Amino acid sequence: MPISSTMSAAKSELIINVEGRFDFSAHQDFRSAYEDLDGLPKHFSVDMTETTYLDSSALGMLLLLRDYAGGDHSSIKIINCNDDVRKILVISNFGRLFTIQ
Amino acid sequence: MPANLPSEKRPSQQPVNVCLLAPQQSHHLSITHFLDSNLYHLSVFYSLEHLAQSLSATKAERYSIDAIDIILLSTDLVRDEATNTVRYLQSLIAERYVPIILISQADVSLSQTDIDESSILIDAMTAGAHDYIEMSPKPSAHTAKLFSAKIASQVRIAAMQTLVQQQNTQIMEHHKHLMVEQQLAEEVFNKVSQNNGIDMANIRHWLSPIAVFNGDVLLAAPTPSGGLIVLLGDFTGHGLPAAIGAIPLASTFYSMVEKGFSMPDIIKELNAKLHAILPVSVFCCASVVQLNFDEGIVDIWNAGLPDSYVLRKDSSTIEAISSNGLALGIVGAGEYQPKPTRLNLLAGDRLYLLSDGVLEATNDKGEQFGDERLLKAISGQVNANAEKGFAAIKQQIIDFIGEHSRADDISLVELGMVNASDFAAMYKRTQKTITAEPLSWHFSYELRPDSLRYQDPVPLLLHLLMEVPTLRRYSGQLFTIITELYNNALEHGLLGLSSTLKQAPEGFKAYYNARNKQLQALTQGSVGFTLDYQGNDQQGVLVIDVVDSGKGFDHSGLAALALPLDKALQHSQPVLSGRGIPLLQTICSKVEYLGAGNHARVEFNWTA
Repeated sequence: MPISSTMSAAKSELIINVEGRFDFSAHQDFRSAYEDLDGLPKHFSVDMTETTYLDSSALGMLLLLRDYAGGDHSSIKIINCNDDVRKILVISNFGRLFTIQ
Repeated sequence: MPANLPSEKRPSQQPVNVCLLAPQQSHHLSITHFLDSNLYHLSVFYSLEHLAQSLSATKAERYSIDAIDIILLSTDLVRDEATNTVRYLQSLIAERYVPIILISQADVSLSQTDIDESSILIDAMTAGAHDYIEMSPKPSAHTAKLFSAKIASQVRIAAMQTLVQQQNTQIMEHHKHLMVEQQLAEEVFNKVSQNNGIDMANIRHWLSPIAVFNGDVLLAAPTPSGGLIVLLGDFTGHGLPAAIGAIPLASTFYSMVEKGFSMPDIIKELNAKLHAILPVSVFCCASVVQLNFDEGIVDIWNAGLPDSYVLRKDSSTIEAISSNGLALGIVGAGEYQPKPTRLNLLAGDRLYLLSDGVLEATNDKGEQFGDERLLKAISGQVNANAEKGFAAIKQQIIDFIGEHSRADDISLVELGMVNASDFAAMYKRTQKTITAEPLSWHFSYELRPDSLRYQDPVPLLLHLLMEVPTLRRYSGQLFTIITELYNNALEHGLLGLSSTLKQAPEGFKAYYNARNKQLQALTQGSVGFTLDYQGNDQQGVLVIDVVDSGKGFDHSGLAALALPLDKALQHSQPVLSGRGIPLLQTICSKVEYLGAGNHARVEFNWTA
């Protein structure tokens, strides 16, 4: 399973791990990771430690998460990006919408 | 045993239709006693001819081939015609999956002697029969049960197979439907994305084959002031979302460029339109370039596409313009402030725009073309003529990915800076024959402080004038006239700014800072336009009056401007120098200032 998620003990943060290629094939799993929850956590993190590649439909999925998490009022971190992934996020100026670490 | 029944196919417990083919003397006919008549409906045929006759009998007695669920074929009937018999039965059932089960003598596999029987089975199964059941002349009760179970199992397999077949047909139909929709979307997309403007000689482009409907858009249109605006866009995903977005993108782009809106205003509007229309996950990465050929200025803005590159005529070093904006359609209007980069280019300098498909073009070793190879390919063309140079870059990418690879999603565009006169010659707008009724109208428009602060009246007035078909070919001149008159009235007349400010180093910035500051503080005052037009299909006169509420200025020296242009410039007083009056005089038949100098009047004449 390339997408997995962990909820923090206090249920305040959901961490979604994306493994391998983050593209359209992950669409359903990525959505379920945050939609099938009891409540909406305050913070989200997308951990890209194991992510090798990101395409534009993955950027679209991140925007869906942002929308779900409250749009401009959302708090989403994208963490542990490798250089290729970071480059795509920077070109896309996603730093304006997400906290990229 | 109901559990043995194939479940999916017969929820209503309809009996299974069994077609038994066995000669009259065969002990295989004892099968008729084994099968529960509640569960199986058995039809017996003693020969293929018998079956054929029943199939072609009169309607009332006809046996329907479509009713058959399973065929039991006795080897006693087949003998040395195994292959042909099976093929004949297959031709009857055609596309449907109907198991053909042979009934053979007992102990075929053990009997070394009965070569005939086993070769019949081999031939029949090679031809397409599905299985065989051994049957002794005097079967025990146990054998009979086993026999029933085997038939039931085959019927279950058949039901599953039929379901798969049905689903497969459905998928194929959906796929066909999808392909037709894709083709329609593709047609719309190509019409809106690749029609206008891009055939100009200073635009060279390579867009991936249309068969792979990819979501890249290239739009280009000349501006009323004689420039050119080009947009390269790359929508997320393929297919329908891209086509949906491309339509408003293209129509908004073309209509705003034609009306003379500024590049940032166009970008903001495109963003707002796409944001309003597209689903959250769909957006459009884009580069927009405005070329001003008169002044050799290029404004370039990149949002989400790979670096754009500039190759100067006399240098092999390349400048990159990186993405500094969010792709179109992600955030709402209020948060979107495009910041184009301004460059000075000379005729012969070239600009390259690309989508990520160029860098991600992959060869059979899995390597990507990448920016290093691209930079080398571009810089290698510094001495080549533009046409050949572009073809060479394209060829290098094709050579890299190899002949058999698909060049998907590749969009590469080269824009050449040219002299203004060369561009004007390149772009001859196709002038349709216009038949115009005589027109006579008068229009007044006054802007007060809030409008002066936030609104640009030029596109609106130009739009109004472009409603007169015979005036459309003068859109460039009319744009200049209205812009000059408005700027004069607002900046010099109403705000009292002096254009000498602009002559100092950093003067432009200081001038525009002062302009913005005063505009923000403005509480009263106005600039009014009056447009008066009279004309027919042969000629026309447009009189534009612009009156500002400022103090006016001493325009007595204006008479000197009636002299030939070069002399007029020598005589012109400083106060006039910033007003672009000589420029207006080259376009208009009359330029005059009235009253205190706060009222400008120009007359524009045209004849066919």
